[in-house]
Amino acid sequence: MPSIGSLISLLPLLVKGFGVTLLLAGLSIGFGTIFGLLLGSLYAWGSRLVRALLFVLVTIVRGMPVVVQVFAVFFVLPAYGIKFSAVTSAAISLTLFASFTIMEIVRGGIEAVPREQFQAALSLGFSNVGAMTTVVLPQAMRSMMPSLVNQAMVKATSVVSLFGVTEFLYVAKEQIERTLMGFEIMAIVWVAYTLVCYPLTVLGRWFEARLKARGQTALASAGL
Amino acid sequence: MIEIAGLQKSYGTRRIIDGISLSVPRGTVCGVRPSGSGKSTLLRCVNFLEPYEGGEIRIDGELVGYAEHGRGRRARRPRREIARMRSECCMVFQQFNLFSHMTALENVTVALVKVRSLPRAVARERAAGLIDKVGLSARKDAYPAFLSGGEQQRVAIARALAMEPKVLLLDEVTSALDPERAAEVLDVIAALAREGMTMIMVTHQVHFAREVSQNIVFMDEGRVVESGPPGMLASPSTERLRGFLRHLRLT
Repeated sequence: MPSIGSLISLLPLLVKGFGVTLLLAGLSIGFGTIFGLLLGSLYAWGSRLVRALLFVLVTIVRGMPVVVQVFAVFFVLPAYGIKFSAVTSAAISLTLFASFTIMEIVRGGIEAVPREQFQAALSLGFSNVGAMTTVVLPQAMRSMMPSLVNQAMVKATSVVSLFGVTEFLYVAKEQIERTLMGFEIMAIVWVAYTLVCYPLTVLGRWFEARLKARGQTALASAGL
Repeated sequence: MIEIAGLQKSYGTRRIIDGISLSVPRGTVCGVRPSGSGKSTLLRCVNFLEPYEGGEIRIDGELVGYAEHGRGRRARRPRREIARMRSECCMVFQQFNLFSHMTALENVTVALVKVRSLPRAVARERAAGLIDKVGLSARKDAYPAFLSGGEQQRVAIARALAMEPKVLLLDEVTSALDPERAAEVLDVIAALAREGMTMIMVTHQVHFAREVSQNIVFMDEGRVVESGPPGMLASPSTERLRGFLRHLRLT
């Protein structure tokens, strides 16, 4: 019977691992949102060539399991002389994944706003940019929010444990092998992920409820 | 004063408007009875939501959408000027097109703040006055999805009026409404007509058009078939209009 004491002694390690997980999630969500907004806007408003290019990219990236994307950054890029530390590689690959996922949400959000909304704004004397920022984007953003705050990105970070990145799940697995307290440590893992993910779920629902209260509808999740 | 002369507009090889001329003096209402295509396109050209290839549209002498460079040459106006001219002849749409993420009051306020650069408090006050004018004070904080079609359309009219346009363009504003809701909207328009608002109104409501307009235009296939004071409906001179009116009485 493992003692509570030895479990507690593991906590600093686990907390450190969890810190890396949160860092990876934060970085990939943060940069992914920035790139996703840019790419999504490009997709929605860009020229035919830009759209075609993005379509090819998004088809390649989203057609690949996350693991394979991470694999590509970890092992394929170094073959061409581009080397990063494990954590940086993980952050890059997860950002790539997040960017294209968010791009799809953004594109969907913008395209879901009826063209008439834009024209109504123009007819009142708004500039193209003004109509976009005042009328189209706020509506697009609102319908996107429930999918954007999706907690899936936090959980997706766990795949990099397969590549030796010392994030939460990796540290947990290591400690399980060392102490054989599989059940206890996995319980801690579950609680910790839930502590982060549940509030995000609640936030997502809140956005959705607010939309409903205004008679608007949320965009279906792009399926992370 | 709006003057349209020899207006031409095509989509690809299809000519939608084929040489329409009409003149709407200030303070008058022009009812356009549409038939087939070209109905809303005319209004969209006046608002320059659609560019036109031939002829001209002038609002108080100013050519809509194009700058003139003498000897009939012209080039598209800078965007800023097009936007300004649009804000002077506001359009009300068949499907209302209220901004769905804003309350009724915000819908009327937003362009005053963003386009006219009025201080928010002043804009809100003016907007509240207009919402009151269309009889919706009690509903001013409702989002469009919770307003009936007639209420939405009245907000849309208030939104256009807030810009204090030289002319109001009404594009089949009652076509999406049941008769009772339509009546609410028509009451608002009739009141505006009494106040001397200049309006071009594309409408199927012949009786209403006759009541409020000084000038009726009957269009078909992108051309003006017949135009004149409302009295012309009693004694149409073209077979096309006679046929249409006969059909209207039967149904």
